[in-house]
Order: sequence, then C-alpha cells, then structure tokens
Amino acid sequence: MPLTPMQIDEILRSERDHDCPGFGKDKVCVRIVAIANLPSRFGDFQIVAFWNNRDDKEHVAVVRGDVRGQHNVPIRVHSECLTGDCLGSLRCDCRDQLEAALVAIGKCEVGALLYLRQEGRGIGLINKIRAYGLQDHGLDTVEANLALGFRDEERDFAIAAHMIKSLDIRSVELMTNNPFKIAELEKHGIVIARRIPHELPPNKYNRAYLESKVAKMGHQLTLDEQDGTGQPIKAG
Amino acid sequence: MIDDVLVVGAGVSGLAFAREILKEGATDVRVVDKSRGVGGRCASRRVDGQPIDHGVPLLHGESGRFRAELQKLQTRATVIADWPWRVRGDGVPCQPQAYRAQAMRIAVVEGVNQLAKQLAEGLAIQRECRVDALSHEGDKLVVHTSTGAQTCRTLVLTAPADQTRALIEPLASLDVIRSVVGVLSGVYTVPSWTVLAGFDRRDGEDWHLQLPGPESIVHTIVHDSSKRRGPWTTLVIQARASYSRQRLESDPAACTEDLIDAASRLVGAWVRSPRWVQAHRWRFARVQRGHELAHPIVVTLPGGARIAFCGEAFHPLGGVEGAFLSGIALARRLVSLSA
Repeated sequence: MPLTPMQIDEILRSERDHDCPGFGKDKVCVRIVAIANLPSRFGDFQIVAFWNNRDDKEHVAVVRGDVRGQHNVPIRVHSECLTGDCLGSLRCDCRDQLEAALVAIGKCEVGALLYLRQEGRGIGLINKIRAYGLQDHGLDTVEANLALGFRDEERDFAIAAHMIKSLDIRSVELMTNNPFKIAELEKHGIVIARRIPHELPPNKYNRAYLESKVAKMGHQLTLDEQDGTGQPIKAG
Repeated sequence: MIDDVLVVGAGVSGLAFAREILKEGATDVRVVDKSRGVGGRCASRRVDGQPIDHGVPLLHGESGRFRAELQKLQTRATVIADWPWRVRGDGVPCQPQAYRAQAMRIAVVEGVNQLAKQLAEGLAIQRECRVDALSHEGDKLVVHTSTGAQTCRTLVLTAPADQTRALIEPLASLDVIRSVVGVLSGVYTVPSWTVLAGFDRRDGEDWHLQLPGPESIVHTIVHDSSKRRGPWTTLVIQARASYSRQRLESDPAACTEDLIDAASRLVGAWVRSPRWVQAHRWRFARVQRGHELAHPIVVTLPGGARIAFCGEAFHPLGGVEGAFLSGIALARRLVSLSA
C-alpha cells in the first residue's frame, strides 16, 4: 500500500530535523523534503524528493508501496542520462535499463528506483557530448573519457546509500550487473540480500559500449551473439 | 614513490602541482618556465615601483582549499577584500562566479603574482627556459629546451591547451596521445590584447572596474591604481576576444591606439593622454567558458614514462582557482596511480 497523507506528514516532520555525521569521505547527508503520488505508464508509484548537502542536485526515489522497515526490497540505482532517458539515444542502454527497472518494480508489492541526477551540473552534459564526438572519430580511450567525465562515483553511492537509509529500507535486492555498485553500497552499511541480474539485449549502436562495460568495468553481462533480436540475455 | 618529475610552466597550476606532489613525498621535482618571473597569467609588472596587474586583475575562490590559500596570502601581502565593489557597465565578466554572494574576492596590493610567489617558495624553478619539442625514448621523455635537453620519467604539461597540443602532436602516432590531442582540440582559448596605461595622478576616480557591453571592442577596463597608491593612475584595458583574434598579428601600436580610443569613450577624455603605455598580447588569455574539462589527464606511454596535463582547462571552475585545483588533483592522481 502506498503511504497515506498522514504517514507522509509524519515522515516529512521527522526528516525536518534530520542531522547525521554524513556518509563517506564527503560526509554526504540527505533529507526527504517532499513526497507525492506518481501514477506512471509503469504502474502506480510515489515519488520522494531529496535535498542533499553536497552536490546542488535534486535526487529522487520512485517508490512502490510502503518500503519502511521492509527487507529484501528490489532496488535499482539509476544515473540520469538525458540523451538516453529522455531523448531515446541508442548510444547507451540507459533508457532500456530505466524502463525495465520501472516495469519490474511496478509489478512488485514494494520496491524503489533511485534516480540520481548527474548531468547538467557544471559542464557534465557538454563534456559527455564531447566524449561522443571523440568516439565518432575513433578517439575513445579511458584517459580521454576520464578527462571528460564528471562523475564522482564514490559520492554518488554515498548519496544512494543514504537515500536507502532515509527510506528506512532494511535490506535490498539490488537490480544490477555491476559488482562495484554492490561493494560501494555495502561499504556504506546497506545490506544486500541478493543481486537481481538486470540484462537487456544490445543494439548495433551500443554493443561496443556494453562490451567495454564488461571488459573495463567488470560488469556481469552475457552479450548475445546476435544484435537487436530482442531476445533476453542470460545472466552472467 | 614518485621521482624525476619535470613540470613545464610555473603558472598557478604547475606551482600548485609541484608543491603538492613534494608534500606527498615525491623527490626530484623540477619546474621550467619560459619567462623571467613566475605566475603565468597571474602577472604583475612594476612601473616606477608601482605594481600593475596586466593579466588576472583579482583572485576569487569558492573551494575550501583555494580559500585557505588566499587566507594564507594575507600573511605575506596586503589584500583588499571584496575588490572590485564599484563596478560600472553591464557587460559580463570573464568569471561571473567571482561576483556571487558566497565568493571570496580579493585584490592584492603588492601585485596578484604574490600568489605565485607564495606557491613557488622552496621549489626548484628554472626560468627563461622554453620548451621546444618532446621525444620519447624507452622509459624516459626527452624535453628539448632553449637551454638544452632534459630527461624525466614524468612530464607535467601546464601550458594553455593550444601550446600543449602542438607540443605533443609529434607523438600522436601513439593512440593515447592521439586521443589527448582530440580532447585538447575541443578546448578553445581566447586571446586578449591588453594595454597598460599610466596617467598623472588623478584623485576622484573612485571606480574599480568597468565592463562595457558587446558594442565596445573593450571587454574590461581595470582601474588598477584603485588597488594601491603609487605615483601613477593606471588603467589596464583588456580587449574583447573577437577584436583580439582579428588583430592578433597586428602592430601593437595600432591596437594600443584602438583600445585607448575605445576606453576614452567609456571612461572620459583624459584617457586620450596617457604619460606612458605598454601593450601586451595574451595569445591564450583564458579558456572559453564551457570548454573546461572535468579532470587532469595522465597517460602512460609504452615503456612506462608518463605525460600528465593540468591547468585552467582541466578543472570545471576554470580561472586561477581551476588552475590551482587541477594541479592539486593531478598530484593526488599521480600518487594514487603509483601506489
């Protein structure tokens, strides 16, 4: 059952004075500041808006049911990608990942998708598009992407971990192929009951990107031999 | 353990890098610079003993680290907090964030290059040493300079993006270098013709800075003598990028005349009769806003030698603060890579 107006009031009131030493080396602290219903094409959710003391970005959680005090809650941590999420870019698999997660969570009693806002701060989006330009010219190297990358992943996961704590989720089933995410969240005291593989078929534009995720970032993916068949891929 | 480091450029980023990496325990860190002084675009001259800042007119900081450096500067120099507070015109400053309420903003009475002097303390710096070319031999880099060849294991390039790119382009047969050349090609730098003008002392000029709009060829007029008392009333007139780009190879005297004329129409007729003028051409005055990269770059060449890059272009804040922070970020990165 979603939160009732009275429960929402209660949460917002108790969050008002939330004060903690912070998570991670940057002492990240987040507070829930607004909650509303969010009926969507993927099911009925509630959206929870967070303030944080570090990055001037407004992160949100799309929550299914009342997750407070719950164990084994399916969670997806999604990083904002304007080109993929909103504009339907095929250079990455962000939108597929986002939609699959929302569809899956929409079918559960409880669950949450943490939507971490990454782009648009400083020169993040400009540099991402520059990186695409370099890729178009075959100049795609780790060094170049690092110079253009704006993400501080350590901070991202401190924020995600705190969001999970603020939602009072006791243990999670993390929808991910990325072992780094699991390790980072565990470092901040999040109990990961299990990993739910989150795999989607590649297309001809993002196959190289997905392959580099496996090779360079240790993602657990099994990439199908055929492109764009729409066939789900087995978990690695 | 890091040793055998050569830093090209004794500007704020190169100096901040060298100091930080020495603090981290590195040994044999040398800095070379083509000019006589340190500071790069954090530049001050003296005319009859009176300092005049002809590059960066003020320092401003948002980050704790750079603010602390600016605080420390107050132990060796006199600073004017919040300068400039009397700003005329509605043009857009080079660094709009300097004027945000939370920014710390200062002018340095003894000259803005005091910051570089502070950073340079205790560093081994070879001045008047211009780097002409690079080559790569085994685990070493050979740096060909105006005073002879030097070798190093780690080379740190801090010059403006265009100059750095030209220096590494001959090594572009290496994939890692080719991609860095690609990254640097996306960083645009802006030139600025700058005129320094001295006038008989005028009292009653109470303004600090003037920012005319895009209809003028002048981008900024700094009332430099509002930062300090001296024999002269001084103005530093910095031309707009579009004008400077067009006239980059023009006769300095002609540009001086253009800029004095434009400034006199903004400030007053008295500007038409300076007692002395000096022109300075900043080929690479600053990084165009929005072109900054996120991080410094480190590439490892076959054989193990490293080329690293820092400077204003390698930090999202840009400007002096971006240069400073990129130098520190690079030192930390190299330390973590060698751990």
